[in-house]
Amino acid sequence: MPWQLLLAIRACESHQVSHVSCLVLGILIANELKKERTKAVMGNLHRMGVINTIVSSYDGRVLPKVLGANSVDRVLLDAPCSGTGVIHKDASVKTSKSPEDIRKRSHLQKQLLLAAIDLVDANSKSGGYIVYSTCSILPEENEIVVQYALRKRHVEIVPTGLDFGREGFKKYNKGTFRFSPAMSLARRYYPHAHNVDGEIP
Amino acid sequence: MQEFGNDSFSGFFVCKLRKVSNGEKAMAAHLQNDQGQRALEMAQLQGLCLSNEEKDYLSKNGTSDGPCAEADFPQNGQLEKGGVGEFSRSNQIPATKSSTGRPRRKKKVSKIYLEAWKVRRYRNVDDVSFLQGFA
Repeated sequence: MPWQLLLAIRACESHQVSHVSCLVLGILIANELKKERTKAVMGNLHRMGVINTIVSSYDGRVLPKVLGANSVDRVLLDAPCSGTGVIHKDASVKTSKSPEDIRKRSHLQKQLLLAAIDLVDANSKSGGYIVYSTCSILPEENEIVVQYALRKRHVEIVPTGLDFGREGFKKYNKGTFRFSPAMSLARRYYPHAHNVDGEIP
Repeated sequence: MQEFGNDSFSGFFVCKLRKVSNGEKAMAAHLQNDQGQRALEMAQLQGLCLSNEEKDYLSKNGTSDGPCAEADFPQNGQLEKGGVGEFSRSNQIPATKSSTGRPRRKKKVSKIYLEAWKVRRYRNVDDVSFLQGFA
């Protein structure tokens, strides 16, 4: 595997960072907006003996200016979301989220995804990939965001390499929203139904 | 979505994207219409050689001596005015000369034919690896 420079935006899920850092031959930049959370990330990385990871604390939307456009090989974007997919952790999300909250989240996710795409070098021999993931089940935070990126940037959806899970929606709200046919390559995971752990694979 | 009421409900979304390079971007812009897509598929399936439609045309006009004859393709700086290799932007095919030496009337052809000529122009590009993704 060629040497790679990876970036994980919203690295508060430190188990993801430590796992990816073990898989990659290269440098991993783990970015987390909130500085308080970076302490937990660093603590976990030290505990795991990870030495190829840089922890940073920037707003993900300004990273293309900080690191430079086309500067990394791959990006893992675990976008901040409404958390409607983790009801088992916090059941209050069923009643606490308003349409305005969802709209704001969706807007932020679109900005972050475009920033992630701008960071990736398309001519990278080993990369050029962006993985977008959320812990939400709402199409407003998933398919609609990806469809927006397809319209705004030159990207294509590729298979995730995971053979289970349900396909992404190709239409939503009785056909009001119609997405790219390639959206079927995206995956929706329902851990309680697929008998897996309730974390992002 | 009846499970949504269950407190054990959980769900995630994962999508993998690949950023398209500049070469592919240029081709994607070129292939925005279906005709361009069809023309490219046609040219690629035949290894950037002549299509059947073009073979028929050239054979009827007695100018083609093979499916991949280099003389059939316009080369940089070698375009002959009114010759077979001439690429016209005016939705017209290259004119050929009759047995009497008089130029034949130019015929209207489909846009697909013209798109195929545009695609074939990439043969003069050294690196055509970006075409692979559109096979």
